[in-house]
Amino acid sequence: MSKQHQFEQWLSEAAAEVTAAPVPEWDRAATYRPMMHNHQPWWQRPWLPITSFATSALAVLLVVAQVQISSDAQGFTIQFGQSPAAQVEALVAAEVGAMRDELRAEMTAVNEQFAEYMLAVNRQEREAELEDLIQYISLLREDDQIYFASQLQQYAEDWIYHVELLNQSVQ
Amino acid sequence: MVFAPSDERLVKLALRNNKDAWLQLVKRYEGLIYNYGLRMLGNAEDALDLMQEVFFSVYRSLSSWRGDSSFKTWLMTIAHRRCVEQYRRRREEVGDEALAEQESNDLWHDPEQVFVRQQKGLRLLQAMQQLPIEQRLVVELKFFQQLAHTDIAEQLEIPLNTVKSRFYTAIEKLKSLIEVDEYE
Repeated sequence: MSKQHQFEQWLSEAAAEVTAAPVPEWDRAATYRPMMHNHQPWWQRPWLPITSFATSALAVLLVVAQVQISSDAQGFTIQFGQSPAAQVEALVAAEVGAMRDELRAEMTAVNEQFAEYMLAVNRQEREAELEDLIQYISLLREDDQIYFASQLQQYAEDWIYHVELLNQSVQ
Repeated sequence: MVFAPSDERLVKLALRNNKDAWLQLVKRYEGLIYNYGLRMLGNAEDALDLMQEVFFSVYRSLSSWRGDSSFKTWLMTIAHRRCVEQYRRRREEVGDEALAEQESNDLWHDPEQVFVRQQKGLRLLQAMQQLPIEQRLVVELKFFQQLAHTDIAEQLEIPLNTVKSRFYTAIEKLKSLIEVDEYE
């Protein structure tokens, strides 16, 4: 054991030898005073935070409970939850909304069908008209050919006739 | 003592203006504070003054005790502060030399007055009176209250290294004050 530890050991033993002295009689009650915080004047008490908290809690409660205060000729009425009229209004609004959505969906479907039908019908009509036009043009060409053929024949016959007339006059 | 109310319970009751609870708390710790005052200040009159002042302070700030440390630790922290304050106040009043003279005439030098039966204890107490108050405090906590260095640092609210430095300096001084052949 080092000298340092030996001395510390000696100090511990010496301290253990010292017995506690009895406390002389003294006025213990003199240290006691009633706590001042229980006698705070009213303006020092925490009214503001308490009132603020209570008001906030009340506001939350009014919103959650759906409190409605209405006045009429009979006086004030306080209602908790929704009134019957408000309930009917809410139901009607929901029903109308559903119907509107349904109608919109139906209209969209009908419009799509109509558009498809119109496209299909127009395509068939165009095909038929084209066929008629081709037929007409074909007929027109046949008529023209016949006409030009008859014209050519006419010219040819006229020319032959004139040639024969010239030959006869020369003779 | 098994059914004695806890410190926490007595503090709560005292805060509700229960005088008996407060007096019970005072009686529980007055011996500790008084004997601490005797060892630190060296005479019964100053020890009694210190004890009253400590209990006044404790009662005034009782509502600020949050239970982070034990009531005893909190009480002793207040006692250390008041003790150092009282020591410095006394030194300012009477001066260093008069205080040293007073300490040399204190009750540890009159074995009839004190409750030290053995020579070793008396020698230690006499030597302690010659240490600066800060070193005396560390010796008191280490050897009379058997606290570890970390607990001393916590109670005095000072760094651990400061505690160690004060402790080893105090040991060196005590060693030179107490004759080597007395403890060997």
